[in-house]
Amino acid sequence: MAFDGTPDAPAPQMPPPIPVAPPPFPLAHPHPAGVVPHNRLHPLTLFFAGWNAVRGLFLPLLALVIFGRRDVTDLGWVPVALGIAGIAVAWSLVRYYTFSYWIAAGELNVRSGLLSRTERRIPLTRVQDVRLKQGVLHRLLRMAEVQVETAGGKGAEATLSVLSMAEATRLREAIFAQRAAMTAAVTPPTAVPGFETQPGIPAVAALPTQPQRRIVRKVTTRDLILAGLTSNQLASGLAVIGALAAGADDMIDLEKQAPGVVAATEALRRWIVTGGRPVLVAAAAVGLMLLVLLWMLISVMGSIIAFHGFTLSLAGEDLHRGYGLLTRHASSLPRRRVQAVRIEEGLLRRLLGLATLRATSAGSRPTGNETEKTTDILLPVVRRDEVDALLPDVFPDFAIGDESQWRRVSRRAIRRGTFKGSVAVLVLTAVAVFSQGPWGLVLLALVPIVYGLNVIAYRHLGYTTGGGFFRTRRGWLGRSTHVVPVRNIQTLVVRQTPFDRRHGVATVVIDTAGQGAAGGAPQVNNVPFDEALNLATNLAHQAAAQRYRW
Amino acid sequence: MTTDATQYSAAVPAEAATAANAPPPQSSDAGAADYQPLDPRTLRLWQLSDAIGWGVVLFIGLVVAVGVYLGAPAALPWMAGGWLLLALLGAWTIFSYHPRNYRAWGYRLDDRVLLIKRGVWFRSVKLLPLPRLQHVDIKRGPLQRKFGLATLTLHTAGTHAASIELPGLDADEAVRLRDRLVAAGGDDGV
Repeated sequence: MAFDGTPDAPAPQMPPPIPVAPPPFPLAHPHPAGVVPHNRLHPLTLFFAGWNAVRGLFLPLLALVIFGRRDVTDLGWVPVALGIAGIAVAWSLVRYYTFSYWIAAGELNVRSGLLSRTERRIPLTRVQDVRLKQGVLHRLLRMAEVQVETAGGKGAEATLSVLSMAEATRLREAIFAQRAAMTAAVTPPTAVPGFETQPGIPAVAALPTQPQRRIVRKVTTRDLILAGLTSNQLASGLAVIGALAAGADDMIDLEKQAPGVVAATEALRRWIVTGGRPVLVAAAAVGLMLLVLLWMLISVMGSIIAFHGFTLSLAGEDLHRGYGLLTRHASSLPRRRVQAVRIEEGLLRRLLGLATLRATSAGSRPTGNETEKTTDILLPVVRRDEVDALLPDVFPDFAIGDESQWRRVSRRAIRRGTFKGSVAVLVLTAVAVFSQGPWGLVLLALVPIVYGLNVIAYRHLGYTTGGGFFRTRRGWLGRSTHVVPVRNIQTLVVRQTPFDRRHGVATVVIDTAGQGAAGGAPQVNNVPFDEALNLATNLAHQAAAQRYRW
Repeated sequence: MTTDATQYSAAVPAEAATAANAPPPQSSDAGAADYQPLDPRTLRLWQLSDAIGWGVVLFIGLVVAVGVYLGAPAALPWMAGGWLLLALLGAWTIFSYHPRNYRAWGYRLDDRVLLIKRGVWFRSVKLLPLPRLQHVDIKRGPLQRKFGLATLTLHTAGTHAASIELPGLDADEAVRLRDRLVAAGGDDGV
């Protein structure tokens, strides 16, 4: 500017573009870099890479020091560690300088790679979820890891690690807002499959404001404490403690096998008989109570750490979830992608009138098991009698129907359940009689109890259709209820084992998208065969008459 | 596509249960008459491929038995008995199980729902609302090509029942059926 003789004029005030450096090397692509700014990860990415490398090295080093019997003062390992950390940092430097992302023409573009370059484009209409994840360190530094997920495929379609919290939020809102605008622009009658992105999609700034966000439910800490106290983990933990306590009794029989133990048990016995007993009993009781308390504490802590501040809210058509004490998670789920809902009431929760609400969604499942437990949870704990009122927020067309329409299955269920239970009782009795003598026959008194339990279980087993929803429930002590919109049914299977055929009954299984590998498909057993086939045929025809929307 | 319409005369358009509370269609006792059987050549294909498999097994068994006999002649009755048992099992599979399995299979196009039944001991009827069909594969193995047969694999977006096989169709019939199924499915918003 100075070469034409005029003094430097102040450069025209341009709004600073979103944090960007020009791409380090030009790469031919249809969206010139001048039009859409390419965004970088946050420079702290390098720090996190180094941190992760150090963290990854910590355990091996510890093992080396302990098991290698190396003297800690022998610093021979330092160059090795530094070398590895250096490689990690160099690697992340390359990654940092070659990684960029931007939104253009209704697509999220992610480019990465030095030698083999990848440019991935994700149509925003296909984006299922943008998850934010913040570990403790992320939170201290106000950073976040962003995972963009689409339906289908395993794991995240794109992972941006790390972005500043502000940029992560901006990206997330931008994706959701543009997606909403695109869907709205195309949707009016019904969603058009294979929607083509249009070049004229407005830029982020010109978009309609984010739809109003309404909080559907906030889970209080009190509820989370209750959830921890009533979790299945706790129940199974108590069962383990009970089994241990019962098993301790049998340990005394060990003397027969191990002569060395004889003296010890004999001494112990003598001590117990000669007045040590009350002390021992008290000590055992206190120990057991402490164990139980510890277990409860762990369970409650686990519940709070995982779900602290759990908030389920609805913004437009998206269900948002935010939760976590140390590591914060924020994720969203377009509610039309919810395939089915499961209401779980474990034994303890049912006593307190509490339930867990889970959703099966047609999205990708995160790889690894770390998040598996939490991904499909809509509400970790909720009062059971409030669930029916919440369901319309998940399924807008859900209306609680006539509750008298619940149908029971065949009464054969009682006979079959009792038969199975009685066989188990007979086996137990036989074992008891052989080992304990005729007193083992007392166990036979369990048979009427087994019958009674089966009658109760039968009364709590049922299904209902109507209003475009199929619902099934089972269980008396612990109960689980499935709610499946008929339009989401993919396949129905009417199954008969040879035993089923002898009783003239069948099992109806409903397949929807997104069911976990761990089972949990909605199903009804012991339905009279004709009724089962009619039910399945009916549902299949209803499903065929409706559109299935992703 | 209309030429083979008569083949589906059994396809009863049950009361299109579109209404939410439509009464269930008339109880069909799933008698074999309702369903289209597989192509009869399928049975021969199954029997042939099993005969080959059992032939190999029995031949190896014979070689082993002779080998053992040469080493320890006393084991002859055991060897002969075991071999005969195997042979009986093979014969039972080919001449009893396969015909029953063949008769257990069947399919039926019921308006916009495809029903496929199968199973000798563990029976199942799978009901597939055709608009949920994602794509259809036609597969033909070497033996199937010799017999002029094909297998249809129907894919849905489901999970545990996401792909359903319908084996033993006449090759041309498989193509026609696929076109029919895809047409009946219409354009679902997938």
